[in-house]
Parts: sequence; C-alpha cells; structure tokens
Amino acid sequence: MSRPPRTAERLMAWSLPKGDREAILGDLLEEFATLAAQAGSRHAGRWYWRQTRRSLLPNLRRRLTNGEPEASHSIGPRSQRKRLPLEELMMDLRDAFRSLRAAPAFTLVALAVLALGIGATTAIFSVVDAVVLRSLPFEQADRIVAIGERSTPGKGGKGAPARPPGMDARDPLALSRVQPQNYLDWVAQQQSFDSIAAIAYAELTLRGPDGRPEEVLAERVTAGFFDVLRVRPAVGRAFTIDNEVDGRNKVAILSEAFWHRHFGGDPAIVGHAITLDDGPYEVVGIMPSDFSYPVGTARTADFWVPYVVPPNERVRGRGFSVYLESIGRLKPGVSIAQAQANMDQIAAAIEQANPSPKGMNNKAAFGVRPLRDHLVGASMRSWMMMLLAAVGIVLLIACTNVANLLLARASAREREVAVRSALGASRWRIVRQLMVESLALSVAGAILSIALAWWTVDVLRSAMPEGVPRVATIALDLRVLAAAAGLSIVTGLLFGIVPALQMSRPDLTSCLKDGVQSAGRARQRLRGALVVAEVALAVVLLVGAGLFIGSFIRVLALDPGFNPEGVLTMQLFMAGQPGQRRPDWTPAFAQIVDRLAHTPGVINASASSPGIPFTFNMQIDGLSVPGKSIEGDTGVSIKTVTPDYHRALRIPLRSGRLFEATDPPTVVIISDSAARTFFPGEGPVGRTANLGNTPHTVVGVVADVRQWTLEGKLRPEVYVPMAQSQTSSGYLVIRTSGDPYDVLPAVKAATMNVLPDVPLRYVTSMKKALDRQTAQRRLNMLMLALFGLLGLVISAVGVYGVMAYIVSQRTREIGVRMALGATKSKVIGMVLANACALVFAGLVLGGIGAWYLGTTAQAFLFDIESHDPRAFLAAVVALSVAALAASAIPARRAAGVDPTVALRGE
Amino acid sequence: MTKPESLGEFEQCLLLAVVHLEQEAYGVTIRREIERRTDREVAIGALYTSLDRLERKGYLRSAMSDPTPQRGGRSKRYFMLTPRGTIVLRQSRERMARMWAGLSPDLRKARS
Repeated sequence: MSRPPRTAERLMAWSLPKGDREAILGDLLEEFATLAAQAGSRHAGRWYWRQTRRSLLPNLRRRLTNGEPEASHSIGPRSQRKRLPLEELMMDLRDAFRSLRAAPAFTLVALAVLALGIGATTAIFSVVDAVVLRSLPFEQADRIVAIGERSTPGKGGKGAPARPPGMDARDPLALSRVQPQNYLDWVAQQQSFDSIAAIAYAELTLRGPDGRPEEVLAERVTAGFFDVLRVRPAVGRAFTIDNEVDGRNKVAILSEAFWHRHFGGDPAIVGHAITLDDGPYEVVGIMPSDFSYPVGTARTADFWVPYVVPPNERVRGRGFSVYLESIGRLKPGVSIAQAQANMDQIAAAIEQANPSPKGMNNKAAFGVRPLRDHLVGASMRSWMMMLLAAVGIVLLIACTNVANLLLARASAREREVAVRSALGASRWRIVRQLMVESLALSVAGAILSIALAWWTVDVLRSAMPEGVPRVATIALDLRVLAAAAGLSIVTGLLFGIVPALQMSRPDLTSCLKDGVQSAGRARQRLRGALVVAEVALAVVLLVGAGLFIGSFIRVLALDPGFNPEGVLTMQLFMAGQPGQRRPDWTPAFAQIVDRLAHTPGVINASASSPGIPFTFNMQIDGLSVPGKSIEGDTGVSIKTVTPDYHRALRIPLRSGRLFEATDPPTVVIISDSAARTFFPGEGPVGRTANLGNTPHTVVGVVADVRQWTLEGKLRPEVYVPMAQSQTSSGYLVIRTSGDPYDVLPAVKAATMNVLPDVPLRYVTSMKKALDRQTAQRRLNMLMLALFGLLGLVISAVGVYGVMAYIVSQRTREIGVRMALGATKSKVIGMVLANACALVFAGLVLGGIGAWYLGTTAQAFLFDIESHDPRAFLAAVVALSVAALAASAIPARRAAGVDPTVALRGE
Repeated sequence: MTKPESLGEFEQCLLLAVVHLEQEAYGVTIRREIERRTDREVAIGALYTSLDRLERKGYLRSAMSDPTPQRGGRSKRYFMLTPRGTIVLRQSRERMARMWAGLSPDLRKARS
C-alpha cells in the first residue's frame, strides 16, 4: 500500500490541534488509500497536498486559539473578527499580489530588472568563487603550499618556459618549476614542512590488450604527495619511500574515472598490471572519486606513478632541466614567512656549495606560496575580480532602478493611502501593507533569478577559456544567491519603507483635495538623484564594454603569420626511459609525410619539431653572423621542418625561396624579424649565419609567425630542414582541401604503419587552436557588452519612469502654459531639457568614474589605452540616445495635454 | 433557552450531510457527501473547524470509535445531530422556504 506524502502528512499533523490529530489524520489516510486504489498514488498524493495546503490556515487558527470558543457572534462580517498575525500577513500578501497584478507594467519591469541583476551577479560570483575564492578540497588546505623557483633577473634559463599553464608573467610572485637537483637539496635540508612532494606531469602511452596505443595523462609523484594532500587511495595503498627507487617504481595508482573507463570498476584489478611505455606497472591502488590534482581541471590525470629522480639529474652538472612542481605541508605553527626564510637559507647554502661554472648564472631563489594562490595565479584572480566588479555594477543599477520604480509607485498611490488612513487605517497597518508589497516583489524577483543564474552558470562553465583553474567545480552557489537575494530584499524594504513612512502621515486634507502635490518635492529630488546614479554606473559599464570590444577587434586583426583554414595538426610523442636516448624519428616523419602527401584531400603534408604555433614546445639557440656583433638577445627559436611546412601553413615568402626536398641540412630560412635583427638594412638571402657553431646559408626569408601565444612578443625564428637531423618528437601539419578532420583516418593509418607504438596527441585544427587564443578576450567582450547593454536598458527605463512621473506631476502647469500660448514644441523642449539635466549629470559623474576605474582594467586590454576617447564617446552617445528616446514618450504625452481638460479642476 | 440563531450555508450543508449519513457520519463520509451533492471540494481542516463550532453551539455531538487498521490504527470521530440541531435546521429550512415562496427556481415571479 502506498503512503501519503511524508512532508504533507507531517505538516498536517504539526498544524492540527492535538485533540484533532487522531480523527483527521485517520480520515485523510483512509481517503488517500481509497483514492490511490482508484486513481493511482500520484493522483492521491496531489490530492493530499491540496488538502494540506488548504487546511493549513484553518488548522493553525484553531490550534493557536487553543480550541477556545470564538466570540458568540462569530458569524458576523470577517473584518470584525480578531485575526491572528499570520492571517493578517496572508491578507497583506493577497492584497500585495492584487495590487501588483493591477499594475502589470510596473511589476514586469521591476521583476525583470531584479531577476537580471541578481541572476547575473549570482552566476558570475559562482564562477569566481569556484575558480578563485573557494579553498582547496583537502584537509587543512590552508597549510599546503607550493614551493618553486622564483625567477630572478639575469637567470638565463634554457629550453621551454617552466611556467605551468594558467600562470602569468604579470604575476611577480609566480613560482616556476623546479630542477630535480634543487628539489633533492630541499628534501635534505628543509625544516619547515611535515612533508614535501614533487610532481612531474607525464604523457604516457598505454598499451591496450589489443595492442593499440592510447595516450594517457599521468602524474609522476613522490610518496610525499599523498601525505601533503592527506589523501589515501579508496582501494589499495599509496606509494611509499620504497617506490622511489629505480626498479621498485613499477607501480601505479588509478584515478576512479580511469578505473571505471578501462576496468569497469572491478576492484580485482588491484595487484594486476597495466602496460606503459617502459613495461608493465602493477596497480596498487585506486583513488577516491572526488580526488584530482590540480583540482577540477578540464582533463584530470588518469593515474599516478612514482617519480624517481633520474641518475643524471641527481648531480649538478652544466645543464639541467626544470620540470618539477613541488608542494609541501607546513609543520604546525610554522608560518609561510618562516618557511620562506628557511628556503632562503637553503638557496644561499646551495649557491655556496656550488660555485657558478664559468658563463652560467647559478643564482638560486626559491619561493613559498599558498597552493591555492599558486594554482589560481594573480592575473586570473584579478581578471575574475574585474568581472565581479562589472556585474556588481549591474546589480547596483538594478537595485537603484527598483528603488526608483517603488518611489514612482508610491507617488502614484498617495491618494489611495490618504483615503485608507482617512477611513481609519492605522499607520502601522499602511506601512506594513506597503512593505509586504515591496517584499513580495523582491522575493519573486529572487526566485526568477535562480532560474536565470542556473542557466547562466551552465553557459559560463562551457565558455571558460583554457587555463582557467578548477573549471569543473563551477556550479551555482546557493550562498551567493542568498546574498544577492538578500540585497534585493533590503533594497525593496529600504525603498518601500521610506515612502511608506512618508505617506502614512500625509497631510490628509491637502492630499484629498483635488491634486495639490506637496510632499512630492523631496521625493522628486531623490528620484532624480537615483537616475543620475544609474546613468553614471551605466557609463562605467559602457566605457568598459567599449574598451573590451576595441581590444578584441585589435586581437582579431592580428596576423598570426599563417593561414589556419583547413589545417589539421597533431603531436607524435613517446616518453622514453628517463635518461635514455630517444630513437631518431626523422626517417619515420619523412615516410609519414610522404604517404600523406599522396592521400586524396591533402594539399600539403609536413612535419615540424619541436613545436608549431600556439604550442609551448620551443627550442632556442643562439644565432650569430660571422664578422658581426649583435646587440641584445641573440636567442632564436629553431624549428626543424620538412620541405612543405611553409606551404602547408601558407606562411608568406618575403624573399629567396622555400625549402626543396633536395636541400642539404646546411641551409636555413629565417623570419622577417630575424632578418631585421641579424641583417639590418641588407638582403640576408645567400648570406651565412652560424647556428651554434655550424655555418648555414640563408636561402629565404618568410613572414613572422606568432609562437606561444597570439598576443606575445615575436621572437626571431630560424627554420632548418629536418632531413639528416635528429628528431624524436614533433607535430604533423597537414593542409587539406575540405574539412581538416576528414583526413584523420588516413593520418592514423599512416602513423600506425610507420610508428605502430605511437598514439596521436593533441589532434586539433589550426583554426580551433587560433580560436582558443582569443577565447578569453571573446568571453570578456561578450560579458562586458552584455553588462553594458543591461545597464543601458535599465537606466533608460529609469529615465523614462522619472520623466513620466514629472510630466504627470506637472500636467496642470503644462496646461496653464499651453493656455497662455506655449507651443507643443516648446513643451517638448521643456521636458527634454529637464531629462537632459539629469542625464548630463550622470554622464559627467560616470565619465569621471570610468576614467579612474579604467586603469584597473588596463591589464586586460590589448593595444588600447584605458582612456581611449572613442570608448568614452561611444558610451556617451549610446546613453544620450537611449535617454532621449526614453524621455521622448513622456515629452510627447506632455505636448498632448489638453489645456481645457487639465484646468477643468480649477 | 436562548433562541437558536440562523445558520450559514456551509453549516447547513454540514448538518444535512450528517442527517443523510445517519450512523455513518464521520470526516471522510461527510466530506464525500458534500462533495457528491454540491460538487465542491472541502478542505478537511475547514470541515473540522466548522464541525467544532457546531458542536460547541450544541447542534452536534461526537464520539470516538475504536481504532481501525485501514486508517493506520487511528479512531474515527462520529458526529450525530442533537435535538437542538434538529430544531435549528428545521427553522433554517422554514425561513428559506418562506423567502423562496412565490418565486420559481429561475427567479421569476410564479403565477399563482
């Protein structure tokens, strides 16, 4: 037998007087059972709820009067009965709904404004909270720090930048990755941390049971990793110090998702082996489902394997590579400053023990920083804060507008209130009625905004550009929603109560007498001030929107230096044994490229090593010209490419020629900026340039190509033929005649044939890679433009409201003027002048505000000044036009005043 | 004895339902009876509010039955009309009848 809805039954029991519970609950249960048998339990459940809802008030009334007999003449008119506070509230609510329904335009506008303001704020704050503010989901997360190398001026790092994604050069506290030699010294010498760990990100290849390679993302971690984060595998065990020895390191801990994906969640997998690049690894554990590190990235690690410092990196030699991330858990009572001091000592000790070899700058500087700040980064933080500030302004405009609307409504109801109080309504009764009304409005607006925020958060999560940390944890934040709704309720109360108090002691005679307005002056000034504030805030938003749109246009106008349409790229890479020489893939690349060149749909096929545009793989070496001394940085980016590389990317040739298949390895093509740096004012073609110590002949000059990022500084670039060089990894660059992904099967087949063990990584079209470069700016521009538009519309509504009110207040005056001979156009001019004064004040204030606030946005602008006059001009024009349009309607109404009608009352 | 006062429409419905139901008048059946005859759904809370009032005025009396299993082991509260209830109901009917006298159901003057 089905049971009645639990909540409803409890509510019913609670509301009933004790003596009645037995009989009534019994009745309900009996009827519920009958209904459920007849029409199904869903229908019966709905019936039960309906009964509960409708019985609640009568029940409570009886319960609260304790079953006392009502006054004997209880069948008199309702209004004479003594009512309970709850009942009065219900009556007020009913009245409020009635009066809100009676003014649908006011209600709809106020609700829309509230819902947009609260919804947008909640959505943005939810994002900011998840990305920046929330603490990490680890035990005592505030004790976990990141430890890294702090770049000092003059440290000539070698190889690719050690900055993890999401970090930014603008962040002075940013920590770089660590060289293993330094990490080993930290472990040996540190006294500040309970535990310390090193993490190396590894892209490995998993060999499936069918022999097919699959690329997987692993993190090589030391045993301390699990102690620092205080997490344990859900099944099996963590690594121990034992696993950090070569030979005992062939163990793996799986992520829960990977375990489910590959082994169907079978716990018996623990103890079995999986096959990676360098042989079988025994699965020793499975992490809990909510664990990932770093937290909430779009792609999380599939498993963890022990990190063992390769033998050649245990000693300090001439070269080193910088690739470890390090985290530590502070000892109890140790502050970050103390830990930093400890690390400074260690740095000094390292420097002393290892005097700089000639020509190398061994200056060591280490930094300690809360892990959350390290993962988020200062520029991400300030970007998020800027978005939050912008949406906060939208919320302010919305609240101002609702306040304005409430005031307008209050004025329109002066007469009604006067009549009520003349009929004997107490002051408290009137104030309460008005407050309930504005509260009902705020609450309804807040409810609408939940739906809006829900949807917006979803959209924002998928629109976040790459590199935003903790993206996966973005969700609607109910606390934030509560705060924003609270703000709107406070607004409702504040601007509901002021006119309520004012009106509740009106000068009865003057109000009831036909239309002499006395109390309106102060309120009119207040409303004017609110409009000025709205306009000013909207100016700030619009200027911001203008600046971001300008930046975006400029970024779009940047020439990447190649044509991305129809180009497919992917990486071929295989992690070798640490410290072992990787196989030379140059012949393999040549074979694959040759096969692809003969595939239908392929126009040009080529390979490049180590990287292609917008990847972080870069090789830098010094270039010199015999008999010439070059000022400044002589480091150039070197790419070894197959002959068709420039053709595949359509990199324009400036002079000379592109590579041919017959080229010897001693020719080079240089980029425009390399030509300018190394051969200023002369033709480089045919000249000799030394790469390292090897002389090369320049055969061509090509256009500059953007490298790591679209907006970054250009570095001079040198291309070398791949044939006869040593290549162990690289990218394929394929120009196609149709949809680039159409040739993917052919690429897979060609690669399988030549390099059967190697999976394809980072398969993407060049177009997508370019889009990712502009994603953050696009999002910025869209959001600011949206906020600006909201601000514009809402403040235009505000201007309209005030002008309409002023016109209605001045109907009689306008009538007199017209009777005395004022023309229609004069009346219109008078009203517009009134509006212009308000808008102008707002424009000036907002312009000043935007001037000062603009500097905080400067860091997010590209190639445009925060005081760019065009943005200001656009904002002023947009607002002026909107405000004029908004006041045109009341102005025309004023011109339509019929003097005889307006003056009839006199 | 004070003169019984006039009854509201809903109160009349309640008392009449109890009369119709004879020995079987308790919450469920009263509600159903009114629903069946007037086509109007009555909230149980409102029903008992009025029943209580009518009992206080002495038109009804009630008694609890033994608990029954199909009601989750809860008892029924049976209602019966008191003599005073009978009087007040008859008076109501008379008053109404006099008011309706001379009118056809479609509220035209009956030709008599």
